[in-house]
Amino acid sequence: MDDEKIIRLYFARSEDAITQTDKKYGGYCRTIAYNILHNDEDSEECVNDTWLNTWNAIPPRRPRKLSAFLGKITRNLSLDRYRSVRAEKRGGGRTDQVFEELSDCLPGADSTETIIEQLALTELLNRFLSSLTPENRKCFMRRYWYFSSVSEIARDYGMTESKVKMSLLRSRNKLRELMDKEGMSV
Amino acid sequence: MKEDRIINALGQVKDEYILEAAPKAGREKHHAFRGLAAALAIVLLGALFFQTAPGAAAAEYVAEKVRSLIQTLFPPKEITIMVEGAPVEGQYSAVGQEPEAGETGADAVPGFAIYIDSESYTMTEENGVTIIRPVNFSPDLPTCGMDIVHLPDITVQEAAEAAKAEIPFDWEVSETEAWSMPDSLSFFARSGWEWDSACKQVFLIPDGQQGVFQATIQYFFEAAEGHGVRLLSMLHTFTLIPEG
Repeated sequence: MDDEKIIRLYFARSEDAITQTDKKYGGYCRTIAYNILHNDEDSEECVNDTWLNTWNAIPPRRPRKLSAFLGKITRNLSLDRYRSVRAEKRGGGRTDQVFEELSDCLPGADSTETIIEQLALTELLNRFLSSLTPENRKCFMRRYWYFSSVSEIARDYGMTESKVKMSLLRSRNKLRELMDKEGMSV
Repeated sequence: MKEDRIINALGQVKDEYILEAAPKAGREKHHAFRGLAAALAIVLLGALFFQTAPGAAAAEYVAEKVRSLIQTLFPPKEITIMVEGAPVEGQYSAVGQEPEAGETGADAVPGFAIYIDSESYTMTEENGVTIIRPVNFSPDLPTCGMDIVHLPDITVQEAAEAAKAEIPFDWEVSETEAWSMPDSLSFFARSGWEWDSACKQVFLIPDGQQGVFQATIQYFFEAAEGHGVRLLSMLHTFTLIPEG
C-alpha cells in the first residue's frame, strides 16, 4: 500500500493504518531499534510505541516521507530506552562504541545544551553531510544514525571493513574540523 | 554527554540523507517460541496456532492505549452531590468520546468527557449517541437517563428550535434560556403532573467549531430529586476535548 493511502487511513482513524504501517515498515523500524538496543523484547516494545506515537501525531501532521518520520520516532524512543538502561549495561558494547567514536567530534566539556544550539548543530550536520560523497555519507549515516555494525555496512555496500573504518575516521575528522571552524567547540 | 548532542542532532537531519542510507533488509518480528520451534515440532505447531495475523497485534496494542486516553486525561475522583437534601458521595469515572480528525480541519469532530457515578450508572454508545443509564433499573418504570449526541453545522439556537419541535404537542415546554456553560442554552418539558409523567431537560452546548452537543436528561416526575439531580450533576462535569 502506498504511503498516501496509509496516511489517509490515519486521518480516517482506521486501525488498519497501524496494520499497514507494521506490514510495510515494521522490519525497517525493528532494524533501527535492534541496532541500538540489541534486545528483541525492548525493540518490539519501541516499535509498538512508534505506532502509538504515529497514531497520536497523524493527524494533524501529514509527513512528506512516512519512512523517515517513522524511523526518527523509533530511533528517538530506542535511544531513550538505551539511555535509561545504560547503567545495567544492556545493549552490549556496540551501541556504547558508536557513542565513543563521536565523542571527539565535539571537543570541550559537557554543558547544558539549549534548543537553539541543537538546531544550529543539526543545521551544521546537514551542511557536513552534503559535503560528503554519497558513499562516505551513507557509511556515516549507517553507522551513526542507524547504529549498524562496521561488518554490516561493509557487506551491504560491497566494501572491506578496513575501507568502512577509514571512511568513518575521515568523516569524523572532517566533522571535527567543521565544528572547530564554526566555533561549536565550547 | 557531548556525544549525545551529536546523536540527538543527527536524528533531525534531512530525510533524504536518512533514506539514502536505509538498510535494505528489515528485521523480522520477534516470536517468543522461535528458539524452541527448531527442536520441538509440537511446540512449533502450538506457536503457529497462537500467532496473530501480521499487524493485528500492533493494531490491538495501539487500540488498547488509545482507549485509555480519556481516563488518562480525566482520572477517577470522588464527587459529593446533594440528593433530596442530603450529601451523597460517589466514586466517579470519566467516559466520553474521542475527538475525530477529518480530512480537513473543517470536518474534524471534537470529543468530550463526562464523569458518571460508576457504581450507579453505565455508559454505552449506539449509532453515535452516548447513552447513560442507571444500573439495575426496573423496566416497569419510565426511562431515566441521559443521551448525548453531536449535531454538526448548526447553531445552539437552531438546535434548540429543532429539539423543541420534536416534543409532543401536548407537553408543557418552558422558554429556552441560557445555561451555566458558556453560550449554552437549555429548556425543560414535561408530559404532566402525575408521579410517572415524563420530564425532559435539553441542553445545547457549542462544540467550539460549527456544531452543537445536545444532552437530553430524562426521568419521571417522582425521580426529579433523585435521578434528575444526579444526572444534572454529571452533566455539569461535561468537558469538550478539541480535536488536535
